[in-house]
Order: sequence, then C-alpha cells, then structure tokens
Amino acid sequence: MSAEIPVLVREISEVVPGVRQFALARSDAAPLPSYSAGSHVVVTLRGPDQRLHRNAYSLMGDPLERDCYRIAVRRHAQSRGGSRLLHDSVQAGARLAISHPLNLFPLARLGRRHLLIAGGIGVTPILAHARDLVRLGAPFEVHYAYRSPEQSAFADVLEALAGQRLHRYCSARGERIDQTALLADQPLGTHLYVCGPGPLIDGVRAAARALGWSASHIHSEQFLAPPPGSAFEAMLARSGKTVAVAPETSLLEAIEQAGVIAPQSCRGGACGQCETEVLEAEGRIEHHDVFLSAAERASGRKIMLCVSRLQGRRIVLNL
Amino acid sequence: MTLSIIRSKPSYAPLAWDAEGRTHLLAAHGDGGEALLRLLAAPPRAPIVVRYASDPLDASDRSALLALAAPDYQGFDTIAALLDDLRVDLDGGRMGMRLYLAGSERFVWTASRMAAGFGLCADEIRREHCGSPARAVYCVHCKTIAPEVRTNVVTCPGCTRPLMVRDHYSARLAAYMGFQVDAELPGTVPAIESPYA
Repeated sequence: MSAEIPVLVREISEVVPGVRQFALARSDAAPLPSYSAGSHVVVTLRGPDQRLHRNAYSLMGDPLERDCYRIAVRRHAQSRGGSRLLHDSVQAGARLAISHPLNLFPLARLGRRHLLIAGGIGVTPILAHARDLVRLGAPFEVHYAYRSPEQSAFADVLEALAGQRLHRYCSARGERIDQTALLADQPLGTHLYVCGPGPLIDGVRAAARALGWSASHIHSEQFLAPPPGSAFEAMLARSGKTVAVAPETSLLEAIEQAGVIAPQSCRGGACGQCETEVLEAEGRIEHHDVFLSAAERASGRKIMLCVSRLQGRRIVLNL
Repeated sequence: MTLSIIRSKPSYAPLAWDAEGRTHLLAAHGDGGEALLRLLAAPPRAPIVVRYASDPLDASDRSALLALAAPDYQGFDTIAALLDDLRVDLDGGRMGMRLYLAGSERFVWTASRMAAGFGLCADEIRREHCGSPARAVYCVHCKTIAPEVRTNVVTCPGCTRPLMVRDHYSARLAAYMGFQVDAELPGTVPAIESPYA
C-alpha cells in the first residue's frame, strides 16, 4: 500500500446548496499522480475529537489536469462525520491527506457505445467518463436523475460536454428514468455505467440483467458509509489481540485503533481489499458490502472489514 | 499425445443455450450445422435467427433440416456470403443478444473477430469446433496463412519455408503460428506426422 499524499485545499466552491467542490493540490506543488476517468481517492481528515475520518470520493476533474484533483462532496444529514467535517470545518488552505487514485469504475475504452446513468451526487465519476468519451469520440448518452433543479449539481457541465446527448430527470417534477424502456433497445456492444444511490444502482442492474445484458457490459460503483450496529468483540487470531467494536465504529476502524494493520483501500465496501477470513463467529455476520458474492456471504467464511460487522458476541478473524 | 501448455490454444464445449439471452443469433458452416440442429432440438422461447453456409466438401448439407428447424433461416453458398450477412445482423442487433458459432476453427474465430468489432464480449459468444481438426497456419515470416494444414510441418505457400505448426493460436488472425523449423540448424526437419488429419 503506497503512502498517503499530503495535499492542500486550494479552492472550495459551493456548487449547489449542500454540495461543495474541493480542489486539492500537492503541498509541494508537484504534479499529482496520473489517473483515468472513474478513479477515486480516499480523503483522510481528523475530527475535533481526534478521530480519523476516511471517505472515498470520485475524481471529477480532467485527468489531463495534474496540478490538482477535484472532488465534490454532498453534506449528508446522517453523516458519520466525514462529509460534515469537510463542509463545516475545512477551509481553503487546509492540509489533508489523500490516497493514491484507484479506479474501480473504468470505462470500457474499446466499447462501441456508452450509456451513462447518474443519480444525485453519483454524477461525479460520470462527469469524468463523459469528458473522456468526448475526447475518444465514442458515441455516448448521459441520463442524469436528481431530486430538484436546485440539486442538479454539474448539470451545466454535463450539458456543455454532452449537449443533446444529456437527458435530465427531476424527481420533484415527477420525472423518472424508465429503465426498462431505456435498456430494452440499445445497440449491441453498448456499455452501461451507473453511479448513484443504492436503489438506483440495484434497479438499473436488475433491469439490465432481466433484459439479457451480459455482466461484462454492466458497470457500477457505490461507496457505502459503514452502518452502525451493536457492539461486539473481534479476536484477531494472528495478532493475538482482542478488539472491542463500538456501535458507531466500524470493524476496520476498531482494528486500526488497536494498532493492527489490515488490508484496506476504498473503505466503502466496493474494492475488495479488506476481505478477511472468518475463523469463527458467535452470531450473525451483517454483510453490507457490494463485493462478496451471495455464495461467499452464505458461506460465513468471509467478511469485508470496512462496512460489515457482527450481530452477536464475538468474531474470530484470520488477521 | 502431449497436453499443450500454451494457453492460447482454444478449447471448446458443445453449444448450449445461454438462458440469460433475450435473442439468439446462430451461425454455422459445414459440419457446424449438426451442432445447430442439436441446439435447435430444445429451443428457448425467444427469437432465434439461423444463418448457415453449406460446404461442398462436407459429406452432408444441413440446410434443408435447419430451414425446417428455424423459422428465421437463411442459407448461403459460401462463408464469405454468410459473413456479409452476419455483419448486417450484428449491426442491427440489440443488447441482450447472444451469438453461437459452429464449424471450422477458422470460421468460428473469423466470425468471433467480426462480432468483437461490434462490441460483443467473451461472455456473449459461444463456439463449437466441428469437423476437420486441420489448422490454418500463419507464417510469422511472410504473413501468409496456409489453410487446412494437417501435418506438424508445412511448406509455407508464400515463402516456401518449412514451418513448424505450433499450438500458439491467434484469435485475431484465426490461425496457429508457424515458424521456420530449421532456422537454427538448416536442413534439420523433424519426421513429418499428421496430427491434424
């Protein structure tokens, strides 16, 4: 795992109420690592209570622009603290640390045609995709669903990129993406990309599968915040440590606080890095990730430390 | 016979329906017609399109049987005519389609390559190799492709070099690689056998 990159918040702008864009540049002004459209970084910041918050955000700027990364953050009302902290406490000039970019949501660059679907703040990686597709000269369409005109962040940017190829859906006006109609009549070789709230992703994926879309043409990304649960105990078999996991703390955070280094990357249940073997579980594993297959979940032998937890007394991990 | 450790050598399974597909495009050449007939014996309830080119060299022509088995059937006299039609079918195809190919190795991979050009991925194409195990061999020196090679060493029809027929397969070229067998020790050519007869 490569070291974190120290960055400076160069600029903050309010895109729409509740959504802020942050431009992050290296503290030493050197160019940032190159990345491809669809990549994200994990931003680390320390709360007033000294607690570390780490959240994944898609890079929405231009990959050719290496002097800064751009992320957009929506302030979540029920935030565990990360987005609230970024909105309320981080000012221009603040110092943060970010991970190296990682792409779990790349474009199928050889694809014949591309259908992009974004819901709400899920528009951020789709912006990068659209920019790349314009450069590639590949045929594409964007379908962007948002709650109200006031919450249509970056619709103007998409409009400039996609023009007539942008289709907007405002749920406050009763507009919905007719998923079945949209997906039933797409030319062979079309790739589908969807990013947004869980129900949108699940709905689009299920509609595509029901219409015979093959898995290789369906791409989605969703980062989850670790949901709270009840307290339990994790015994780390190889480290010989026992960790108490509080209701509001994730298993991964509790392990890290105990000084044990666990594999991790996106911290949002998507990348698969923190997959860990379960040796024993007194209770039921609450799987929250979008990585493990149904069969892997059912086996009870694997857990994703970042978002999943135990409903029960004690779990023993091969860690 | 030694097992090949070369991973590019294709392996095949008998064609079977992909239950997730919403429409099915079937194309075969020569003996591949037999594989389509087997498939069509238990068709799914979905639109099925069948395209077939008979081969005058093959013992039996399945066009009549295939025409009976599939309402949307079209027959062709040559692979070239079949591929021209396939191009039109693929161009107008919609997501949810699956492609099934049966016949000579050269045919199924030439058609696969065309399908890839229309954006199909590996999980949307199924292939069955039927009939002769003869190999198309690509000369890595002069880039000529020798069709229907049945021996372990073949004289390149383009440059007359004696070519060793390898298991290394190029899906892009739809041919096995052949290289000059005596390049390092001129005149040293192994005994000629017919493993692909």
